Amino acid sequence: MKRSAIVLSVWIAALCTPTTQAADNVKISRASLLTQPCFSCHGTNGNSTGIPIPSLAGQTEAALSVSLLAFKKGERPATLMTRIAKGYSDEDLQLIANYLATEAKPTH
Amino acid sequence: MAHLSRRHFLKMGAGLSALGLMGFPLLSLGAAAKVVVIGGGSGGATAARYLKRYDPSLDVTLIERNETYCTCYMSNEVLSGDRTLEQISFGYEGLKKAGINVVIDEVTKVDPTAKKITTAKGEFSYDKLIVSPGTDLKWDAIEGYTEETATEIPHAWKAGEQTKILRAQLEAMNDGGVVVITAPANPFRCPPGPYERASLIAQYLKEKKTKSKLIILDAKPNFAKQDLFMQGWEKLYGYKTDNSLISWKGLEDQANVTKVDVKTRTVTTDFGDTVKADVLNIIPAQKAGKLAFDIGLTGDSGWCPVDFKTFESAKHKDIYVIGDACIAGAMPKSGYSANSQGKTAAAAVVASLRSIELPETSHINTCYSLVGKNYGISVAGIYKVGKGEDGKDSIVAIKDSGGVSAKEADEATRAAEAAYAHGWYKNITTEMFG
Repeated sequence: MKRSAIVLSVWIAALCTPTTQAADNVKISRASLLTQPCFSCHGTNGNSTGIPIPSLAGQTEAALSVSLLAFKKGERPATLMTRIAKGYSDEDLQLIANYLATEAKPTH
Repeated sequence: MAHLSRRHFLKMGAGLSALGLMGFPLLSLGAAAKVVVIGGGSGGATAARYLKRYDPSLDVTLIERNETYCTCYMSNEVLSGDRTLEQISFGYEGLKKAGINVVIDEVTKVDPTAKKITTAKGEFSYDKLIVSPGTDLKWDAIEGYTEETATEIPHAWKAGEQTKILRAQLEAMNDGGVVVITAPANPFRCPPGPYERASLIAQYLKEKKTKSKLIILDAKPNFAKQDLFMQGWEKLYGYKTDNSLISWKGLEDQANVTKVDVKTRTVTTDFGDTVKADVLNIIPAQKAGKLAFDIGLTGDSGWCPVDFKTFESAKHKDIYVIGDACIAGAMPKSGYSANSQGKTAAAAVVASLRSIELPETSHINTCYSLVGKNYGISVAGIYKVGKGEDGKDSIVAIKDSGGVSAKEADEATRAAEAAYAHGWYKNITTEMFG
């Protein structure tokens, strides 16, 4: 019986893996579509190895939100981000900040 | 569990299977949807990565004809000697590690009805196909300029061997020689590219061949980031003085080149003026890559019409076209645009396979240009699906955002933008190929 249980659990795991994995990884949302272009400059999933561009991964939602809104209002100087941030509503910037804080994990 | 009978076990299994199949009708167990990407450049490599990012269970195949890809962006630094060709060359090991089936092969035929792809060595079927065919040069655009003569008169608009040829010619040129670049009319790949190229060749001349000059003959009346380029040329290369390293002649100066004599490296404009070069770089007009024509994805313009939200072809269902070959409204033909479109097309494919609605999409393009050492400028755009000037659906730039670097910016800002250009290059290539 013990063997059956092991077989069963392995079998259930095998059965569930593809769908569970897929379900865990699908993050198609307004927030993911808004945020994905950021990674072209700021590195894979927000992890920058391209000095001097900063990583977005590992920052808090509050810090990101404050920065993005300050860029948009021109209160924080930048070469490029002041021009970029103006392309988004405050709500979009909040979605981006939340997505980065929750989904962009530091890898280094 | 300990008292589980064999019969119970089977019943439970059947129940779970049914649940699995009902819960995920399109991605049934053991039969992952097949998505093929053709073209492993900026658009295709990104799309393949993001297909896996959005759904690791997908069966993703990337078909690309070359073992390595050379980015066009930063290839001007190879011309100036700041970078080697190897430093802009990328293989596909990173994509293989991401679980993508990479096939180095030449696509010979795509049947959109049977959903079958034939290559030189095999056959592939697909549920969804993403095509990133890039651009081809219009060889008939300038009389006398052919694919065969490109080894003597490089275009270097596809990086790699062509970049090497142009670099070697610049190195071999005598001090006092004249470099001529001809730039095409819009639309073409990398709108600021010819002017960054002129800048970085001028940088090389300033360092190594001070008696030489560079002339740009342009089929356009103006060009991308023109004010910023010219300001940089004034600062670095004596532009507007008698000793300027660079001169630019546009459409109004009757500089539209229509003919070339390969032997003497002499170009003729449509007004009959001739200019003789020691190194001649012809950047011809462009159209969508050949594969797009072969599959029947192109429209009258020679580019591919697509749904502006999903990038699905307007010509064939379940085929998505991204990158330089597609008509993407206000988005320029750039590596960054292709990268942004690749991500969206991947999300659109996964959403379609799962029968869910794709949320409102959003794009960015940023093009950095290097004017000289520690001197960078940029243009950025943020885009969404909207109504174009003609009232029809398009991808439009969001008002009062984006734009070019400030004209009054100081040296430190220009230096910072040059550093960011290099950082961007490292990050975007790592995201695609790393």
